[in-house]
Amino acid sequence: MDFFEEQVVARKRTRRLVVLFMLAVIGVIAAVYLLAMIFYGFGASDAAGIRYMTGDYDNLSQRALAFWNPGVFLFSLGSTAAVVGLGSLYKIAQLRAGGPAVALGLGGRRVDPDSTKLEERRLLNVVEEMAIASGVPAPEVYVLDREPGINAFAAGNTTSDAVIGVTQGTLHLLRRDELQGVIAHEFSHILNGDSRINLRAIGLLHGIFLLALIGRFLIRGSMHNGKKERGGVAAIGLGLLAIGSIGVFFGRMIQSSISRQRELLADASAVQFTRDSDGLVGALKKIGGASSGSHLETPKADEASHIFFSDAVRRLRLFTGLFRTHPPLGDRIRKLEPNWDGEFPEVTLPRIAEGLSTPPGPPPGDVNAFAEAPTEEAVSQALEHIGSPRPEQISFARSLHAALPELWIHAVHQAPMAQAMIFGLLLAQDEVLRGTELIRLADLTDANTADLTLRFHSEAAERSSAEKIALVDMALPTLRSLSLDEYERFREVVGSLMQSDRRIDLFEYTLSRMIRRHLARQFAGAGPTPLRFRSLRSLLRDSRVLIATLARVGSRTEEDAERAFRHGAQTLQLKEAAALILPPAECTLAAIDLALERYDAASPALKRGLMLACAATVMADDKVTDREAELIRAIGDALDCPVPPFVQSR
Amino acid sequence: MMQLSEELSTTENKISFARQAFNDAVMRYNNRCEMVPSNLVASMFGFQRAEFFEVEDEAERAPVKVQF
Repeated sequence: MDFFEEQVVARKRTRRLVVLFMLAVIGVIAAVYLLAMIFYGFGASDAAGIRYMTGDYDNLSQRALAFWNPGVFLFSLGSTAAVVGLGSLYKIAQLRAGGPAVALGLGGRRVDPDSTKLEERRLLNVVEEMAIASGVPAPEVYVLDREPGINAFAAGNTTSDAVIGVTQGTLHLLRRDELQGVIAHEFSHILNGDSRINLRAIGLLHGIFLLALIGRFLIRGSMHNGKKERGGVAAIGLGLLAIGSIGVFFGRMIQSSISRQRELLADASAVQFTRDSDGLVGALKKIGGASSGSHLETPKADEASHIFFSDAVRRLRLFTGLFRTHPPLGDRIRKLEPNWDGEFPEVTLPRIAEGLSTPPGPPPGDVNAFAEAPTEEAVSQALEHIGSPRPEQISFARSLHAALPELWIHAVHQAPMAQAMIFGLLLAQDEVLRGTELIRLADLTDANTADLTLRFHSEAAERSSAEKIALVDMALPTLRSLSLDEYERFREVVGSLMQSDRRIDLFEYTLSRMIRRHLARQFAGAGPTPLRFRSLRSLLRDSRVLIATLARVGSRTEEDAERAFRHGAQTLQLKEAAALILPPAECTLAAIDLALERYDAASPALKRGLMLACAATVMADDKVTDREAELIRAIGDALDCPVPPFVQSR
Repeated sequence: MMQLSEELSTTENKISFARQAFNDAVMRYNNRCEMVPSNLVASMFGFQRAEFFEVEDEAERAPVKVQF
């Protein structure tokens, strides 16, 4: 078939779209009318019943007439038209902006055309290649960051405002040729005018789905609401949902009728563009094998499910035949590969160290920026300058950055190396333990990663912990770009490395806390902690745990520790009874963890008080050890008061 | 390194896709020249058959070798 013929076919489908839309609206009007008549009609029939009983037979014929009431009909016509019309117009106006509006609405992020991330670069290159192959100008590219499934979409009114979007899963799980097949499929939609009609359908469907959406919203709202009027709101919601489901019924038919056959055509064109069916087949098989398949998380996927590469919404089995927006995966694969055995491959994450052809060489010699232990002055200055580093601190940071060997700088910017680096920092110092940890690591990931980890570990031995923390700080943005599944694996490995020696040391704890805290916001969607504590009294125990730990870390003897604790307690102005150091048994890591968690929800003034008390504790013996510095920075990080490195002013 | 190999493969792909798009267009044009009814117009106005883009030289066809 020809390009022009395709466009003609697409136009014809527009007509079918309009007919189905009219049917949907008529159906909804009928339902509203029926519902209104149930309320209204009861009154009428009651009146008729009374007349029947009183023997007034003449007016009984009015009862039959009660099923037709022009006033009620006009009401239902008007209200339905208003809701559907406004809903559709609103959405259509919103979509006038074209593809980008759709992509952003689905939670997409525009990929920077100059991106240097390998995966994004690859995606952009593939899009450009397909633009050349199909003769369509290269569209903007979006990534749906929160979607682990494998799926993609194209949307746009014309080829010039078209966009292509892919999910995070597509970006991470597909090989290059598979990605090429998927993108070629989407280009076919743009070229054949499908993306245009799809966009219009989204607008119309929004109006039809609106009633059901409002109904669902009301029901959900009434569950959270107070007891009063709950029943009434829920009943209205239920009624709207019932009426809306008629609209949804026709809406699904619209979606499936405009989308289903076009998918096979787009598959065929994809093969024509790439001259290779293996890539597309591979992608389809991976969808079948992947745990999350091609399903999307966002609730907005429903009204847009017909623009995607593969099924975006899980459906009930019952009506799949009628409402399918896409032909079954198996059928699509068999069209491309007739002798397929029906087996889906198990989709696994790419290995961490894959693609690193040569292990990095040994680092050049370097100077240790932390030869001197920080002094009291340095610490108090560092704490004073939380949030506004002084020039010395900045230049110190620069020298620290420069002193880091190139290997490390390189490593923190690459996801595989950054992961291996963190693993390396967490390996045990004890040789026997390290051996078992490495075996376990090789088991969880692969031998190559274990090698890399050991290499990082042996080089990290000479680093001060301040430098290590700096490295982790720098690696965090890289780790944020992991896919959700990769992050889960990373977390699992970190957890197993920490627990392998049956005890967690302070540095391991600090590190894991930093990672957990900064990455959880990205991956688990955790927001900032709400403010819960305003007075020191509720945090008394937590303050004592933290200060006692800090006091013990910096002291040789228990007396020294007690003295340091008193210093800290004084700064916090604790009462005599509370100014006694807690026994070590009460300062477990679990207790510290809880204390930090609770302090995170404290008011800024309380946090500031704690940081000053920590500084006083550390300075009780006029010395700051490496471990003290490390812990104080960890506390600062946990409380969202990042402490700059301690610098001696010259 | 991976960036470089990615850029190399995309450049190579872009060239081959451009050639493919050109040859597809040539094929469609030639078909039109021979098919009713457009062949009448073509012969009336003397449309010539177009040539496919092909590389004859063996050396040029050989894949590029890259060594790091």
